[in-house]
Amino acid sequence: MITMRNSPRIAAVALTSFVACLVACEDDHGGFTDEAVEIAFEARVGDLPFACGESYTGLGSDGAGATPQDLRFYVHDVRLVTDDGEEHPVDLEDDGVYQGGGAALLDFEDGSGACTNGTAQLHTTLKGTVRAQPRHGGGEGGYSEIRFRIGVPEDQNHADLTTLPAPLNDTTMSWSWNAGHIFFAAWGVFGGDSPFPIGVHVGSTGCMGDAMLGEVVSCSKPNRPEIALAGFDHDTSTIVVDWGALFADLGVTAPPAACEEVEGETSCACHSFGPGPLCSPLFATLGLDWSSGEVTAGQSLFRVQ
Amino acid sequence: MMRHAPASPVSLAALVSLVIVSVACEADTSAPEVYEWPLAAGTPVPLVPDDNPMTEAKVELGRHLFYDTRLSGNQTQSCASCHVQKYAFTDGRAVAEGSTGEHTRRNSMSLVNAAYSTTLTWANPLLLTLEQQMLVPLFGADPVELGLRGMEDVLLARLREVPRYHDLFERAFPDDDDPLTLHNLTRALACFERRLLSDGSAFDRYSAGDYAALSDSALRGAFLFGGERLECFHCHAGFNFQDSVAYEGKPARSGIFHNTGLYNIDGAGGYPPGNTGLHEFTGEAADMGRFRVPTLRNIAVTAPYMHDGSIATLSEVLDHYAAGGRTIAAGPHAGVGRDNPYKSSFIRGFELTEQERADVLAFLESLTDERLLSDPDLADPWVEG
Repeated sequence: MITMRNSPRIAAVALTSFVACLVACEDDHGGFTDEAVEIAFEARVGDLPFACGESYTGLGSDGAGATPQDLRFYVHDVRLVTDDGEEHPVDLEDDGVYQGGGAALLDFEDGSGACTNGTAQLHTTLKGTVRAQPRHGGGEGGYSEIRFRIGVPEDQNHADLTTLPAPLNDTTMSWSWNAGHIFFAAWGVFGGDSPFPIGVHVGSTGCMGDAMLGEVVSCSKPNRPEIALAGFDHDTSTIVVDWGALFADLGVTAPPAACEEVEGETSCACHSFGPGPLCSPLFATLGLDWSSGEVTAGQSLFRVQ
Repeated sequence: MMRHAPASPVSLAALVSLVIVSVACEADTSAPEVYEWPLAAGTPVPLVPDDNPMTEAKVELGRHLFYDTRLSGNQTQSCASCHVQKYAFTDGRAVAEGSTGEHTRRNSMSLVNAAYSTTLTWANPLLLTLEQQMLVPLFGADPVELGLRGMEDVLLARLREVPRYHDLFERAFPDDDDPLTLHNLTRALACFERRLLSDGSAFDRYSAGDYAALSDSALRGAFLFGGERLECFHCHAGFNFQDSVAYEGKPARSGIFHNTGLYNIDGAGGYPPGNTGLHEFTGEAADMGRFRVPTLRNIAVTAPYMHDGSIATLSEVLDHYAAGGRTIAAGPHAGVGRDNPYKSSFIRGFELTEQERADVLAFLESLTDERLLSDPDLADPWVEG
């Protein structure tokens, strides 16, 4: 199955390179070749390693303690960027589990501790092939930046879950009532002896149309953060995703005012639609303006190590 | 062999087959089954997705799945736990209780005639097919309903252990090498749900010419219902008493949603948090409190009423509409629904005499389809033997 899926893609890449070479290859892509790459991610809480079951302190704007409940997200549209600013797409390899359909699910929770919605397996390294041919023009020099989008590509996001390839058919990241996927899930249990969860499910909102009836689904707020990290060397760098940074602008010692009482339990859940006072500071750390849906430059969750 | 019995049914059947084969078989060796909808003459025929045509075999598989508690994480609930045949496939509760004890925010909708509905659930404009809608109760986590999130493989392994399913899946999906898949499961369940059809009420019999089927009171109620004083029929329109329906000859259009003035928290039109209707999906202020019109078929057996089950009886529902919107005097939801700025223009209020109230209720009761409520073809197949 994997071979069958891969073959046409490799052939297509080869063909594209060939045709491109006829036109532009006198300079041999500035010395670039199609190259297998592994892009390593690591989850942390500040400087500490992220682990389900661990407790962390100094979180939020008021220095609270918490234990993780989830940290998973989809990425797609991965690009390595040259010194000249040329974007070379990375074709993600299909592994039949965590990578497929043009996207990858990065999974940092191991199902232990409070991470009861997850599984023991992890997936923290993207595997793929960076194309010699950049998206536009050509250039020289090495790769010095990485860019990627969080989320599921629009043409896959609203399709029938039962027909999608892994990892897009994962029901734990499905947002069936919103007819799409949860792009990014990060949760924690705060409050010590009176515990309450705080977390975010990022996904597209304001969507209309039904893909299952052949309609194009369009969403007024796609909510696919664009992450750009300079100073990235794909041979030596690791991308750190800081779970603790998500809560940096939120007072979390006590439940924020926007939290809801449901059957006697407090839940501080931003399911992308709102509530604004909760979603806004959480979205901002991903470089999203919650109220307008615009992608902003100010993400604070990811850094290069 | 059969030569000496030229008029036997077998040879006749063979002859018919031969003729059919010679006409049709060049293009296709397995002509698709023509599904016979269990509908009275004149009742519209539902639209069906191209990739999931109705077959008896899929309906039968779907019926087994619908009543099977293996379809919940802890094996305590099936679809039928919240969609009970005798309540016209609702559950008699204000809001549903899932397999782990969590409550949904909204009242279990009747599945009857869901095949005609252009949108599914109370307010979601995105769920347009049953195949997609059922992923919410199966895998949803907020709240947990059947609680199968992340358990697809466990579910399929459970079903593989049941010999009857091997047969049922093979018959329903004869072209598949391995028919026991989640994809096929959702298709079969959708076929069974589309089979939950109701057009055999006293009102239907009256409409078909059996004028003894309705009492004088119910008949007066029908005229009140269809009159401009009460305005009921604008939204509860047509054969399914619902304004957003589609069927053969009437293509689906976008869903239609209305604010009926059930709430008006703080006078600004607000509905209780988490239950704001279409607004939850679009974020548009004007969509606050807009919900889909439910069918009124079998309405007498589907209490309690409204999207949140907050009205216990049909008579009290009439009070709400007669007032032009409900007033809640105290508590967190206090407010005068009549003044909700987003309210539908059809909710204007009216006065009813006691006799007229009884007449409208008699009409609504005449929409109950007793045959549907006890039809063995729609009942639990696991209790038979």
